[in-house]
Amino acid sequence: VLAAACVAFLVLDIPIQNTDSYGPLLGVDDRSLADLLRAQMHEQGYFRPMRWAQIWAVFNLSGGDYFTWFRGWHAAQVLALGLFFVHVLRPRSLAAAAVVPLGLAALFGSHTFAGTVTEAFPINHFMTILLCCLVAAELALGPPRTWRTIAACLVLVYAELTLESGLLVAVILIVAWAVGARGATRWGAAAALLLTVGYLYLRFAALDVGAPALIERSSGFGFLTRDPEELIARFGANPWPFYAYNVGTSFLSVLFSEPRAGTWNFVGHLRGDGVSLVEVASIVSSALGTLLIGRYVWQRRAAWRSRSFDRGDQLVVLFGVVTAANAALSYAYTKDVIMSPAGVFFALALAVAVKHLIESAPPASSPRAAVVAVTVVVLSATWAVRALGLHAALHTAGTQVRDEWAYIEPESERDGQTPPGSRALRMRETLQADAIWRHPARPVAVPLSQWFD
Amino acid sequence: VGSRTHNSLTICVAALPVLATLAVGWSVLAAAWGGPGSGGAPVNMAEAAGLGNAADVLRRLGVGEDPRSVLPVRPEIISSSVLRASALEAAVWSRQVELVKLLDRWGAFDGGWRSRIGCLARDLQAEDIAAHLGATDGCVPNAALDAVLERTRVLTH
Repeated sequence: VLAAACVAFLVLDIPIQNTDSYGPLLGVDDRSLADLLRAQMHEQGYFRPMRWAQIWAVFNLSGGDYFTWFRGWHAAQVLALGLFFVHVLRPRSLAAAAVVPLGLAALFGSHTFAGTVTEAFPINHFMTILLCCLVAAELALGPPRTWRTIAACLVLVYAELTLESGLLVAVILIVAWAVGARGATRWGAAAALLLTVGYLYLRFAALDVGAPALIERSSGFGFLTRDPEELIARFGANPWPFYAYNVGTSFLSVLFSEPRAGTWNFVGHLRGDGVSLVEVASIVSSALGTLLIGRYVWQRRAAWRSRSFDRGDQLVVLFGVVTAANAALSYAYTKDVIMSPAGVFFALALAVAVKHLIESAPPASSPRAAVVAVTVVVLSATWAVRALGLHAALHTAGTQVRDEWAYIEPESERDGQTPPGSRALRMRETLQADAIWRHPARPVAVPLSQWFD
Repeated sequence: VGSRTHNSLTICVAALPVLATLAVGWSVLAAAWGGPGSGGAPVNMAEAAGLGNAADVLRRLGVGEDPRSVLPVRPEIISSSVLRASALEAAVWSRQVELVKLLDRWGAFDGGWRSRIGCLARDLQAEDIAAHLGATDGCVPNAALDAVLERTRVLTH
């Protein structure tokens, strides 16, 4: 709770962005929900009506106090995520309780998580999807109940209509059922399949929304981020190798923290200026975590072959399948935050694997006990460093957003697109005043950012 | 023996993430209730400008602080040779022309300040800032810079 509260508190120190937030706020201003949803039916490439419904709802609840409502909503989601994470882990023994701090460090310290808290549009819908995934897992892994089936279906519909990665909720419900979790019942799994087919039909056949244009954004490839023109020149005729690269690198990114967003930063730094200790901690923590999850799978293989899955097994299987599905959804372009659902399940699987390691540790007199102890200490130390890095990233994000608002030119010096005295201008002035005067940056007792730059 | 191993590993795995969380919790509480250490945050407008912290500069302008006032500046902000500077001067050291433009929009360079700070920018080879302020070839090389450094020399001797 303290870990989630700290992150939530720091999230509250980031003002609403100008880029990516002011535009959507204007988009919902003075419009009815029906009008907004109707417009979504005619969008090309993106089908996210619930994303807009959520922005519309918070906007109208705010009564003009945008900072309190939007930032408060974001902070509340972070708190809820921390609580659901612990609930899904369900610590019932000393070893299980001991791995909760490590699991939370792996959740909040993951490079895939940072983008869910350092940005908002003005609601971070990646965070919404993380919550939906954890709620779905909690529903599916519990005892069979009709209400769980109904709730799981509602969460699935909401997630699918919020963001494309909402499809992962269906993956969770179906895979959980396949490995013996009966919380959402067989009807829930069947409904998840049907609802997903229905979603795909609605999106691609009935409404003809389609998918985002194939190469429309910058994306990492090799050691550099390539702009769309370069990507089109290289892959325009045959994009499949590029898609395969994106899927492969997204998958590896969760397991090893490298490459990041399709770019091999660590390898590039090794060849060039050298790597920082923080980069080494990232690679070591993820690789060691992956190794321990692999060890767990190996040790449980006999039980799995006989189709005997306990809750820990179910979480580890979910991690594997969610990561593969999440990587597949990243085919068009890669970004750390897109893989955030896989990052959450990595943290869950890591906690399960480390608990198993502790419970099956050899006696202290055995030389293997020393190896286990060193492994555990290195793992927890490196993840602790990464968790501290998130707090530095949040502080840096707050500074950047405020500087962005500081540099907004007065309307008289702009191109005159916004009429003086208009609602749009008043909104912008409110957001700027929030960022600069009403909610200035809180002082930092320990300037972590200098160590994590 | 197995139980002892078990307990030791339990402590090993939990201790560091818990300590990290407690450290962050302490840091958050200290910041929220004005606890020890400012953590390198600017304490006046000159420091904010020296750090290129545009939001803090704008906030202080908004509450009526004078960017032309010469203020104490900690050595880690610009250098140990510049311990007293105005926000206008410190902004040149930040080398952020956008920050200088921001100050300009607030009328901070009225009077003789434009040419003086323009010459300082030229001395510091901050050419984009010098160009924005319209620094001419009439600047006496290093005179503006020496004037700022002299304040610290007077302090230290």
